[in-house]
Amino acid sequence: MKKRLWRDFLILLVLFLGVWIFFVYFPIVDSDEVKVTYKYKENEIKQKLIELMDFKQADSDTTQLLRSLGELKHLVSDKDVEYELYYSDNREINAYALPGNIIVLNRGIILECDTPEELIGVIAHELGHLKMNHHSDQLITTLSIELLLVGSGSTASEVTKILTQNAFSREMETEADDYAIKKMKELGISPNYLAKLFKKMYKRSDMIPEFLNSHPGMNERISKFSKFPYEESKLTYTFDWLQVKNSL
Amino acid sequence: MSTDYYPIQQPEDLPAREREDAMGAYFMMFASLAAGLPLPIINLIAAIIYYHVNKHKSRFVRFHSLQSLLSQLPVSLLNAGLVVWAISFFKYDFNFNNTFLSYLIVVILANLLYLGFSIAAAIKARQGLMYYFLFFGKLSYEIVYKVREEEEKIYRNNPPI
Repeated sequence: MKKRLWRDFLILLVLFLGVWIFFVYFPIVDSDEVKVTYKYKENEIKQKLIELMDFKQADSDTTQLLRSLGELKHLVSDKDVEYELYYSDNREINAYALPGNIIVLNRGIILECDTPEELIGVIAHELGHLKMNHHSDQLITTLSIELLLVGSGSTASEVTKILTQNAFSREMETEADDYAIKKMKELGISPNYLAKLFKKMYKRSDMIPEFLNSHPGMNERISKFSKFPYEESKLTYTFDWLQVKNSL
Repeated sequence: MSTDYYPIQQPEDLPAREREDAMGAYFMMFASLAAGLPLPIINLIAAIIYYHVNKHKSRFVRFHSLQSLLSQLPVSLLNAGLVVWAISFFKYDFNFNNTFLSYLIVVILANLLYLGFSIAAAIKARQGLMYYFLFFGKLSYEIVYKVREEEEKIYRNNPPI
């Protein structure tokens, strides 16, 4: 009997490993294909969003604002990421990165920035999200969780999803902050500029911006960016920032 | 060491209550799944409790409870492995590669197989029949039906010396 038990155990083990190895070499769904399909969908979503939200592309040379935003976009570039910068006529103090390599700046956040350097910091943060493919990762992770929790459509599973995804999101925000610090240093801008912006936002306790919800604690962020000594930026622009803001 | 086995009860010797208890062992997982608990380990805990509650009943019930519990062990481990792997994506770099996708397929297949065999076993148990899973069936039979010497030992009360 013992011999037969061992034989059965080996059959099960070989079956398990065999099927696993078989699908590794002859996959039903190729992981690269999943990513390619996602990229295609990303472009579709992008076009619909632009139409729906009436975003205006920076650098389109129509207004002083869009021209100045275009100038900032050329400053904050990354050889690995080709992105598009858009303006949204929304008073909410917010900026966000969207699928399809889009960064959107709301009117609210532009008005909140006293200097173009602060806005450069915001753009760099959002570029960090795009550079690290946070959208793609989050979508696939969400899909994995959906698969894991399939058949258990209860409150418990919903709570688990929200908790895990928020934790993931906070980690992404920290990564994007680190990228912003790196990018600002490259441009010769002190990351302290962003600390100034955060302090202003913090004072508006009744108006906590939407995009900060999933971000690491505000105090934590202010102290992180304040560690860098403030130095006046030596960057020059073809526009007057105050005039740009007044045009809004 | 004895190699004898206790006789297997035949369908006509098994009362309806025992058949239902044996069938219940396989339906434990449906109860925990319906409760919507996302942790695969919950199914296992339910199976362990069910086995302990029923292990003093007839060997037929004990066999089916143990087979259900033992066969659930690898499936739960595979599911737990998938959860740990997916959670590691939050903590470390996301690596959605073919090894993970294949593992996902294997886990889905294992769950489907387990589900199919469990339903079959539950039906057989309800009819008062034995149903042996590959490996787990033999192992459960060995544990439940094998005559052990210690069980046969007769304790006698004696006066003080």
